[in-house]
Amino acid sequence: MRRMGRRIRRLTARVLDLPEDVVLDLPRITMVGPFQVMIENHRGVIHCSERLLRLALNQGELEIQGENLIIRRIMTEEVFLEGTIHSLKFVK
Amino acid sequence: MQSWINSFFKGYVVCDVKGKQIHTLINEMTKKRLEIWDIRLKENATGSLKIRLSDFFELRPLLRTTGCSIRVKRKVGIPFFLNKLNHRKVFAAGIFAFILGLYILTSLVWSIEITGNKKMPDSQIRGIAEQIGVKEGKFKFQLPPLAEIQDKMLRNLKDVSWVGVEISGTKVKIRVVENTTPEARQLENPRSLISTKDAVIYKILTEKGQPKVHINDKVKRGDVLISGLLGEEEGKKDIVVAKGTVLGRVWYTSNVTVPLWQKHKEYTGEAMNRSYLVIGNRALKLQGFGQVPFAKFESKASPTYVSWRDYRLPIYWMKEKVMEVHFYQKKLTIAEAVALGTNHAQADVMSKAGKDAEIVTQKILHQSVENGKVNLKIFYEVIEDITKEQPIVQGE
Repeated sequence: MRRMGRRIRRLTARVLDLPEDVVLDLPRITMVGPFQVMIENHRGVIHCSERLLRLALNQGELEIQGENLIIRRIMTEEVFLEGTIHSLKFVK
Repeated sequence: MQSWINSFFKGYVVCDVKGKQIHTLINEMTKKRLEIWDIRLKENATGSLKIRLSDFFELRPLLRTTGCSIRVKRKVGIPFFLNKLNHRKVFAAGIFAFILGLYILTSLVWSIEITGNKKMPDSQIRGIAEQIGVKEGKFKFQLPPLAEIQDKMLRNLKDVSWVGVEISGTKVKIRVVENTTPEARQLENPRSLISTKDAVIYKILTEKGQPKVHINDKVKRGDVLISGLLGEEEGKKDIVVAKGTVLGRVWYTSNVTVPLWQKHKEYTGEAMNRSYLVIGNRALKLQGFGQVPFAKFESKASPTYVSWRDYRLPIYWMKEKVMEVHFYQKKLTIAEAVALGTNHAQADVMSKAGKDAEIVTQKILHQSVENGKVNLKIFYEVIEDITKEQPIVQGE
């Protein structure tokens, strides 16, 4: 059921040309090289350290691994991260 | 991204955090919309962040709930600067007083510059300006508006066609353009022109008056050349200002003696510098001790005075340059001596005849050499202006 609803929503978004992250409540991730990453629409910071950042999402978690990670800006639904990023993982 | 200036102005604090639940702390801060940035967390439950000063005080309850501790490492921003300034109030007051003083001083008129006047003296223009109210020492805003100053100055100054007044900084610049008046004709008294020397008339050009002589007439000193009295009948004579040019041939004889041995002075180039400090009437030698090594010498002294306005200090520095001189005698040939002699004689004649004179003939009448000297007797014929004014006294 949920999956059906999801599929319909996805279709609607595509047909009506709406941004999917807004309609589907998904995070938008903008990366500039391996140095900067901006995550919009997250649900909170689970863990944060120099080498690992774990964010909670609407569904699941986002794990970022790297070195010298610094949170430049943090707001309720946005995180701007800087450093040397090695990998980005979506974890269920 | 972040407005740096904003955070700098309002002030922010850099702190170190310690505790196990730092993440919760950060989440709570985010929820409460506290402005934080540059968050670095290390593995060992420590980290650092930057937080806005105004939000800093709301941290305390959060720290208690999460069990974390905070320590301030650095304070940045204007509020902290002002705090420091409070401890040094006098310094701040000094800066303020300085700025204020500077502003006041630059609002005064310090100097008045007058340009463009050739005939009119500066003092006259300054005097008029002062009457209007423009003078040194006055505040700039005290002066009347520029247009008014210009207008008044123009009305008060005669012979001036335009006045421009400009205030640049602390200087008031007054530019004056004078009226170009044609040169006033010199007042002339009624007069006649008479001869200065014995001569033979070469050329006579009468502009005003009645000529009394013709070309090739012989005139003696004092003879009337152009008369200011017109009319032949007695009792009915017009008196005018005689004007004209009369050139005559004048004869001169010059006697010149030129010695054959000429003594010349030459600087060898060797020099010695001496300097003195002069106090009152005494000179204290500072440099250049010892006897002068030259046999014959000449010295040139150049003092440098220190003066303030018109008052000259009695203490001054004098530099003396002692230059070696070498005298030598040079023998001239007779031809050279003659040439030298004629040059002298020519210069002499020209000074007697006047600057517009022309030497027509030069003849060496007599030339003899005796006792190592050359004697010359030279004859010159010069054409020169021989007029002189003689005023006519009324009633003659």
